[in-house]
Amino acid sequence: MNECDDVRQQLSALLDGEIAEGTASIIHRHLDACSQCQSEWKSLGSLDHKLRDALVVCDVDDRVATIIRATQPVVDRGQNRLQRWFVAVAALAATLFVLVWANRTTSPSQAIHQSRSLNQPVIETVARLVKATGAVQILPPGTDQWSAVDQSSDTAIAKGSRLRTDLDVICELRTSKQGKVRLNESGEMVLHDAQKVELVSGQLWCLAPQTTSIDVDLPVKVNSAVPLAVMACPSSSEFQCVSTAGVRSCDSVSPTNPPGQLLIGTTTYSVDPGETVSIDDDQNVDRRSDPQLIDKVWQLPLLAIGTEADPELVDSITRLLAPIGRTKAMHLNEQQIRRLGPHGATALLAYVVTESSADQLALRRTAIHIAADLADHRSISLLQKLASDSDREISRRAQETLQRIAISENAATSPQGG
Amino acid sequence: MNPDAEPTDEDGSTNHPTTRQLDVQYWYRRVYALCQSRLLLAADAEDATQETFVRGLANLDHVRCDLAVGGWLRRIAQNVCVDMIRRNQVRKTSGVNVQNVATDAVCESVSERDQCDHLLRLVQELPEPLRETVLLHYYDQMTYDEMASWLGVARSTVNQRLAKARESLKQKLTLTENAR
Repeated sequence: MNECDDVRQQLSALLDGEIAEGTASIIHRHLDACSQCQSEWKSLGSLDHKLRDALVVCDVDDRVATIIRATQPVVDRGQNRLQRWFVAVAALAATLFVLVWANRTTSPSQAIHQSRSLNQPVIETVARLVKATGAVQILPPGTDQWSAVDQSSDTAIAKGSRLRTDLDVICELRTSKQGKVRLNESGEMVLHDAQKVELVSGQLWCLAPQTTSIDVDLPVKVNSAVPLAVMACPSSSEFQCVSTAGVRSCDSVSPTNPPGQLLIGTTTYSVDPGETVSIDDDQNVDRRSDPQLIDKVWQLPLLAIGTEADPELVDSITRLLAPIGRTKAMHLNEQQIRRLGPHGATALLAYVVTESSADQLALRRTAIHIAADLADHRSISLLQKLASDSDREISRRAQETLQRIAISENAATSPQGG
Repeated sequence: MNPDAEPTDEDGSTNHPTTRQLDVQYWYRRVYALCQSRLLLAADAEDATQETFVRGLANLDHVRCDLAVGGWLRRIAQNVCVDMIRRNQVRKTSGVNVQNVATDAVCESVSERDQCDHLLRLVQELPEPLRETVLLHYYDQMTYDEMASWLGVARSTVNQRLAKARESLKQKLTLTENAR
């Protein structure tokens, strides 16, 4: 290997200041004397300059702030728990002090002993109510009075709480382990833990977090006894369970799910991706595999709440709308969406507003076509945005629908016969 | 190295297990470089980086010692990228949409923008180990020793990868400039 080859191999490290001083000066002397190596050195410097311009990470501070914000609730929750605990302890200490002061028969040392022996219950938060399409009822542990959950903020749900939804109400909870649980309308469940949920009745969907699994207890009545069936949803998996009169079923919703396990007594049934396993009161097990029939449509009104750009909403509606009209079987999708009524229209219109890519135009038109029939006054703001959409068909349908809603509202408010 | 970071030791974490914190600012660029080398698109890389830190912050108490933070964070980032690719959430294709890749570039004029886009496309065409080393070097201005520690390779390997990547980029740039 000649001197030029040797020098050229070290130019990259020289550029980065990673060559020892002595060696660097030898290389520089060679570069001064050799025009070809000098040319290599200059072209490498030019490339380095271009790469410095091209490879930049902007707004790192903002991105870091976003991450900190995203993880803040976890910290806050811990702090809040701690603060509550300190407040409880302080209140207890103050009360005891007053009692002791009033009743001198107890010595201070005895009072301290008493304060330690008192068993103050600590309420453990296992989940938070993130969103709901209406009022959600809660029965906290140790009480017998149902009350509406305060939805003005992310409301903490204590361990052992029982939740239920009325007709037309769907809710979503985020567990303290970062899992998600959604309860369909007219459903009831008990939150035993962040990793253990009991579905009393209705339909439930859960997304287990990356770090832990979620167990869903299902009541299965056999010979008048009530043994529990348990659906073990592995970490990072998405499952759906239904408990109706006589039948309980579990769907493995996502094609990327690891296999789940439905345990009934000593028997374990594997639930593979796209598969539904159901069991009746007589313990007859039915297994079917048809991912297209797994019905997640009921969640759409929930996804339409809050931000219009919910990627899950866009993804769900794209998958639902894509096959409509192509086969008879897939016509079911449209029927399912239509069954949601005005709630479904809100979700569809949120999708049409959010999805703006040109290759999704056909799906956007399908969506507004269905939504136009279902929409009511709740969709007015979305329709107003679409009335000025760049696609003529979409804007025309939006304007027509706004007119229809206005006429029906006028008819409803005007005096009869007027 | 990021001059704004003020970690208490060389791994960007505090020394006491009871007060252990993750300096997101310190680690951000290198995790982002890893994610972009795997996922190609800037938007996907940003999502994956965010997900990595969310997972990391939630499980920080599982790290056995502070010196292991780098390797642990790297493993999380790799898992996040694998998960994203497996779930088909990313568009990992050879036909990279350069507009998405180049969102952070500071090129201003149209011709500069074209040049940046072209250069980014060439960087994305590099083999993955070379790509990550280049991104790491320019995103975070790390020394060879720091890069070797983060990548888990020898310092000489870092040197070779950077030299090889630059040589490859230089040749391809010359070819395309001659073709114009």
